[in-house]
Amino acid sequence: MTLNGSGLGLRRGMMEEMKQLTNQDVDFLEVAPENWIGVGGRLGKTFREFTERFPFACHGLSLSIGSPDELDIEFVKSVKSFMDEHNIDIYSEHLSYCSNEGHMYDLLPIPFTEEAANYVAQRVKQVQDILQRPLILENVSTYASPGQEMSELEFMTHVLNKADCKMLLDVNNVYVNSINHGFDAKQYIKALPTKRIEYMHVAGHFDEAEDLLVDTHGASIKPLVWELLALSYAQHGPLATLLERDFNFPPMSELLREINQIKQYQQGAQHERQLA
Amino acid sequence: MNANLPKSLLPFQEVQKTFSQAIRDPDNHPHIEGIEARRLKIYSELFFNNVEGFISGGFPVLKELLTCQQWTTLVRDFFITHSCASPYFLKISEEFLDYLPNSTLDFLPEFSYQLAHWEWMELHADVYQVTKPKPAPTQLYENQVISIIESAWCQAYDFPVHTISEDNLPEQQTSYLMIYRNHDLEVGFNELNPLSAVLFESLQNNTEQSSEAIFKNIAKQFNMEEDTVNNGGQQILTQWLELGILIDLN
Repeated sequence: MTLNGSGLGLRRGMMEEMKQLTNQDVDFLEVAPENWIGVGGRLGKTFREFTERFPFACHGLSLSIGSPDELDIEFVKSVKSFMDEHNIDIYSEHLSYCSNEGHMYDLLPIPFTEEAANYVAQRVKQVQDILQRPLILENVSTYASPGQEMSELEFMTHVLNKADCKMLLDVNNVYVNSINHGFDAKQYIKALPTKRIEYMHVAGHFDEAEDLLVDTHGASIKPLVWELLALSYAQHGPLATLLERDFNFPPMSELLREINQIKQYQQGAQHERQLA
Repeated sequence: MNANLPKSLLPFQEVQKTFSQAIRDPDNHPHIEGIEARRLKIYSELFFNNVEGFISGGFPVLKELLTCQQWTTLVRDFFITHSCASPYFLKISEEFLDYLPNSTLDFLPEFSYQLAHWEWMELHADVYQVTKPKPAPTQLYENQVISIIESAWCQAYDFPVHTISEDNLPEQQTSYLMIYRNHDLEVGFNELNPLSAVLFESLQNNTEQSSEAIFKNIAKQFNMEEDTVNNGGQQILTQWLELGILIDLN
């Protein structure tokens, strides 16, 4: 199954409101498997009600694909069982790491070197073998570039090709990094290999300083990010796109307005393609 | 991962190690060559606030008993010294529980671990995944074979941890506490007396004995009048039936 249309991240803090959603409102939902594997009780019950009603994508947080720590094989197997149990085919993760001699529970910047890219690619293959599904890697926001020897674009492309895996294009993260590290966001997006891109993310961010943005997922989408989303659709096609919102939850109507805007951009891009 | 063997790191992994150390422990690793301080600070703050959020959500009472400074020191010490094995966010509380007995911080009250354990039990009961769901009995009758729902636990604490607050610091006193998630998925707790604690344990292990036989065993084991155990036991079972924590093995 591939994803279509526009989706929303399922968050505990929004679950009650999200119960009202219909398949007309959103085409799919996305969850972090780490938050739901092994969870029973009322939360587990509510989760199952959602997975029975909507197509789902898994968007992981703890795989730590670039970590010096060993790959947690048991965990990857648990993700597979979870996906099988809930009939989920899509598993995306971050081109990042979140552990170093133990979990640190947030995303760290992998040094962009060829050796690191090869190391990651080899681990991606291991994960894909266990999952029996392609791994979809997201470009992450970063605030520093420790040990950098190549550009983010080169690093990303190297991993995608070497591991023969897919990409989740996070448009907001491209924008955030273009400001934080001073590169051209449009060029980055245009240079990505279309056939590798499986779906997209958009979100809001926080302006820490003129040259330093933080990917908070706590605000509405900025106009320049909308522009980049339109460019991404024109370049790579109107792929399924998820709106991420992790805190500062606005009323659902406001999120649905953003989701409808995504749908309009997708339809616009579709129309352009038919004309072309 | 074999923690005993020193691992030889690739050059980029050395970079990762330095970077991770600076995020875990910014006071002792304030600078990394070639990285702006404000950028490093964004990372160390994001990471700390994230972990702090999980710990304060899991242990609000322990947090209330400490000063802000002490709380920050505690969470920072956990983040620096404890290697978290679990990839699951709901298990960060459990990692913190593993850390507490090893903490060398001298300002922690002596009941800290037991209080934290009790606070963790509430979360544990709420999200515990039942492996073998069994039906609830609709009523109690003679020669009935019953047991306790899988999502109920009885724990003996050295302090009345369920009564602790900023205004109520405990004296040492053994407390038997039962925490449960019932058939309606509601979480609750009960203070048990010695008889109900023994009955709880007997029922939890029960596979084939009738309630009457269990009462008889308890009376014999503790040298009590059978009638006393019978009457007391029936009352407790009626209460537990209403709480929705019994399961029917008939």
